[in-house]
Amino acid sequence: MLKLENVHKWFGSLHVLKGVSFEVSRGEVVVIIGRSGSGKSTILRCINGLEPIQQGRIEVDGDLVEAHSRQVRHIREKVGFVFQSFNLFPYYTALENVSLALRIVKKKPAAEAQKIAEEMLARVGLSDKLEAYPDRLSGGQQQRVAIARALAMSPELMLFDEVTSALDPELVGEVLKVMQDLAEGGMTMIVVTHEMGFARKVGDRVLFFHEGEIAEQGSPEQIFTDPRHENLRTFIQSIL
Amino acid sequence: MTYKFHWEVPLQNLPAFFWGALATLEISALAVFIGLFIAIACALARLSKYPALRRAATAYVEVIRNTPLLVQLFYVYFGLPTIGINLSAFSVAIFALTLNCGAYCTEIIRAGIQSIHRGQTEAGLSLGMTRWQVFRYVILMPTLRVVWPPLASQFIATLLGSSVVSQISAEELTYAGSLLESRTYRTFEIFFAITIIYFVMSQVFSLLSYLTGRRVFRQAWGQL
Amino acid sequence: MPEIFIAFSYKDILFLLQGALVTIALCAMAASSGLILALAIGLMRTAQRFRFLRWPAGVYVEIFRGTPLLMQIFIAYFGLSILGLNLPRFVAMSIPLILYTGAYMGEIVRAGIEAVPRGQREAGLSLGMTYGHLLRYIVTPTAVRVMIPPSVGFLVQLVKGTSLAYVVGYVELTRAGYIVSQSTYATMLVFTLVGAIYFGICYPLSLASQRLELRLRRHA
Repeated sequence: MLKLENVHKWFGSLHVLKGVSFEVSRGEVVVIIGRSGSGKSTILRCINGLEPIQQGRIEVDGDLVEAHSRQVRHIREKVGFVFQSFNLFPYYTALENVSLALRIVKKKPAAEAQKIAEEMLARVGLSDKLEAYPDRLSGGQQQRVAIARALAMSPELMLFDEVTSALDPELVGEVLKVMQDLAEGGMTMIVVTHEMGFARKVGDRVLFFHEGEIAEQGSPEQIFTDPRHENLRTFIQSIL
Repeated sequence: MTYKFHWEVPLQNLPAFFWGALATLEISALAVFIGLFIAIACALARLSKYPALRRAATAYVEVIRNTPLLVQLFYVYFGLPTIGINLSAFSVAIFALTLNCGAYCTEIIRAGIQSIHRGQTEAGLSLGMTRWQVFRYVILMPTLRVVWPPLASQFIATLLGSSVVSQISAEELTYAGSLLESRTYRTFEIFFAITIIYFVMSQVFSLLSYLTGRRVFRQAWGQL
Repeated sequence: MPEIFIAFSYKDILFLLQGALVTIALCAMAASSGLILALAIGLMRTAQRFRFLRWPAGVYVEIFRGTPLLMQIFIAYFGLSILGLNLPRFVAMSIPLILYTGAYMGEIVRAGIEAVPRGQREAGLSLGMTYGHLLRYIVTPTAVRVMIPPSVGFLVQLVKGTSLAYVVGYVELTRAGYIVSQSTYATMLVFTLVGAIYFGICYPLSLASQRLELRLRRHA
């Protein structure tokens, strides 16, 4: 349902994406790994149109993604994005954070929006924190609210941008569990992460990004037990 | 609209405006220069451990900052003769502007010192620096760098604010305008031209302070 | 010395207080109308879709912040009579103050909008919100909280600025003080009173602004 063809992107004179192409089918969980600066976060932000691309095509369910256009909004209703720094709205409660977009974007009546929001927060295990403001929640709880917020829009594709990198180690597990449940429920996901355990357990396919290109891809077993690309081998060694 | 613009009136009197602008610059520069000394003293007073000093300095700053410059100007202009001091309008203007500027600069300096002070002093001392060395390299230089932009803004604010001293007939740019106006009655054209002169002055100084700030910035880094 | 107290009576104090009321009325007018103008200016300065709007607003701000308020009052006051408009003096006096407020508050609005972290705007966009949605639901809560302390501080500036109405003979507090001092010769007493009244209006505002600033910093 997602197709990238020969995507190039420059930040000024810096060539950050050099001809990236791949496809993701419905229900697939794709994990993207690589060093900082390899372009893995950038490609995610291009998929939902937060960053424009200079060359190539990105198609979500057949619709072309054009950043800064009016139509990209409709694509974003189908694509959920979870940020590394959570980006919860500070002056809204957890419940309001989740129901806000339902009311103003999907134009749902307040009662229905609230019901859906409560269900989503229950799914991520936060039914007792509905009225809490973000500054009262731990990092892990905030990230789970962020996931619930994205899920409430009933997306067909979920993008996760290093969502556990800003968390204290003991809080990482609760977020990964939510993501695993999502994957087992059949959600199409692209996950940029350093959590190799998650990649092995939950991923269907792993893409290794190096200097703006996909240097190697394959199943988790292939990538982790028999890496072929030299950079991939050094990368795995430095992580494990 | 039956009004006929007589733009030649300001244009023919540019020399008068030139000297007026020079006087304005002189007044403002003096006010900021002397004001800075007052400001440093008062900033240190506000940060000192003696409550009497703190309260006195705070009172000075708060009174000046919460009353209009025009009222301060009148107060000084009418008040000084009652205690036997008779100054020219020009000197009274400088006096009042200096008092005004000193109060605003106090806050700028105080904020600058406080933004650096804390742990940096301890770091410097732990490295074996003397108190004087700590002051010079750890406090003074960074404080100057932090303090430069708001001080430059204050100079421009003083420059623009100096126009009120025309009300006590101190000879500067605005007063030059009113003198001309009482002769020719071309109020609009005259003050429009004068406003342009003020605008040009403020833009020039804005640019100068930005460029100087960058040089001071880099210079400071080099010395450290 | 005793003659001063004979000449100065409570009627003069009343006159001064009337002047103070005019001052407050001018401020209220300038602040409320100026705020609307400031919102427009601030939005123009941060426009994303219609970027060309940025520079006219920028020029406007530069002009009104780079020229003396005294000159702005002169030009507006005499400009209006040239245009043949015979507006009531209160309105004629309000116009330059409104424009002045629009420029300074415009910068405050701009800072408020820019204070909203980029991440929150991206989160809103990712949920499919339009720019209008973002402004209304995401930017406003944060921006308003950030704007309040400097706005209260600006009110102090505005109150002091109304004293310049003196120069066109408009009777507000400063001109009232001058008139009383001319008729009673109790100049120092009068101006001390005038100063005290201004202080009484401005100091609480200054204190409030400082406290609001501290509260904002603690929450962030």
